[in-house]
Amino acid sequence: MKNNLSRRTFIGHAAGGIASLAAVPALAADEKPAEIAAGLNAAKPAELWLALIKQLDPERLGDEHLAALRADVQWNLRRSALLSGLAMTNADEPAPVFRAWRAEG
Amino acid sequence: MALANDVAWMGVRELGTRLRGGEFTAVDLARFFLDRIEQKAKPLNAVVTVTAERALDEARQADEDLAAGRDRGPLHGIPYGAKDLLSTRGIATTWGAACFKQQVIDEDATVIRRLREAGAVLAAKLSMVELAGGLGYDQANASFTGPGLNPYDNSAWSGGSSSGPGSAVGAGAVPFAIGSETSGSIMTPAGYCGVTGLRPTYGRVSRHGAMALSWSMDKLGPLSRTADDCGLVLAAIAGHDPLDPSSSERAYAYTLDQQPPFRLATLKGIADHVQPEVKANYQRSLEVLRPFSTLSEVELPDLPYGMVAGTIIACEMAAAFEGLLADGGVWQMTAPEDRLGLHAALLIPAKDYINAQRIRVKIQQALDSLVAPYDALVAPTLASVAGPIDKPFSEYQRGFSTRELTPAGNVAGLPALTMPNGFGERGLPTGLKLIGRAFEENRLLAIARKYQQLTDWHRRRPF
Repeated sequence: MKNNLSRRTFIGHAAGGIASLAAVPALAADEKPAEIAAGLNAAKPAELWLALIKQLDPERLGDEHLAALRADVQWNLRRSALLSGLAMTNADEPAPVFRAWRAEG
Repeated sequence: MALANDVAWMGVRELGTRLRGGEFTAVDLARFFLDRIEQKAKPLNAVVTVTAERALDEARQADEDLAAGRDRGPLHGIPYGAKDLLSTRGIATTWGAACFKQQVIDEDATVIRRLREAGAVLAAKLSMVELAGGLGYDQANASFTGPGLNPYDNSAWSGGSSSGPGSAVGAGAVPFAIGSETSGSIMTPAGYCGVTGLRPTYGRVSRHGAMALSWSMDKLGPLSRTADDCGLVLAAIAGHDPLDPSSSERAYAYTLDQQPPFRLATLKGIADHVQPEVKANYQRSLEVLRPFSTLSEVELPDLPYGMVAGTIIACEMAAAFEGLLADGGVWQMTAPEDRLGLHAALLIPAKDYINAQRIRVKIQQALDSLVAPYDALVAPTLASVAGPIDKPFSEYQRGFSTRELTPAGNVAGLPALTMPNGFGERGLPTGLKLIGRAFEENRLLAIARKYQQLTDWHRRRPF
């Protein structure tokens, strides 16, 4: 790897790495028995999300609660897609500005 | 000394004049409003704690100071109420939630401290929607103190999440109150209860000692009888605070020097989906403004204000209150929907929060460009009057909307003011909203003062 990477080229490399990581679960799923892989592929994201929520509070969350949460989860997924869909460039930074800090100012 | 009923409806400036004129003492005034709180505010579920002992101590101090020639300014000796998310030394601070009923944060919030230094008298901690509404409540009954009731009609909601501040000021039980707004929590109760409310610019007022719902969106501000009162209160509570890193270094002074003509802009289509009476009152308000203003029409840029606000609030709320899942506190929430509001929010992907904060920058820039040529944008405060307490909001408000004005202004951190402008369905108040450029509260206050000189909606009383 070159030592003089610019921020932009570094981010380009990093993005490639992230894309590779994102592909890992799919490859892993392909290695599982066919029926499990089929089940995972067929599971809707909302149901997977609900399964995770169930794990947050397994003692208290019943089926009726999960049914009530389904609409929230579906909205979160839709909102996620809409937020990701808005055109932004790499230079668009988030609102809170982080600043280095020293106790003595 | 027994004070006349009219005292309950006087503004801060008039109360101060009469106090200094010897018509009554600060202790008389405190006793009078403590009684009003018991008689008028408690039946509206507007009160969590009456702080009688502290009020009488502060009032005695105010009288002693005045007698010694120490005048602390316009709020000297004036009673007020504070939304129960502001910490107060030695007094419970419940955040409206059953699981925090016994919580005592033994330090005065910066706002409470500044009001004490200005001579104001804390008379009550006022009710609020549990955790300031961050869990997604859809009904009036969302606080352990019961549903906030409207002083104009006890079967209607007071608005929230600053329910107690709205209905206590509306009922003449306190001359002013401090509320908080993350996205609508000052504008809504002030609008529904027929009082004047000011949402200051984000960072104008320190939140140290206030419950955090959303660190990057929470703001504190006054609800009172008039725009002039809001300015006097803002002057006392504004200013940088090292204990709140978000507080601005910009100094604030309330001045009366801004005069007409004002440059105003209405938003295209803003009244297309509001109740007929709201629309009629809005149009009549524009006719009041027209003789001393230029009125242009602009369009709200097409940006996902609601989605950005919703994502930011949900994620920050989830971080702030994650512990309620582990200790079971979330299951003690009054509104059933609030018991589930935390679960889904905890799993929102980090990239959604960051994308929302990135889009927020675009929203800030777009709205600043929109507002910069004007002194204020003008709109109906809310699309409808307050709904009945026994109906979900989603049912009563279905079909009514002021588009995305509430999340837009809040995401951008812009100041806004609401003032009463008439009555609508079931005799309930409607409001007129002004939205300004960041740190331009004085322009909004000047426009509102002029409007209130020409109208008497702010002087109407529910009883």
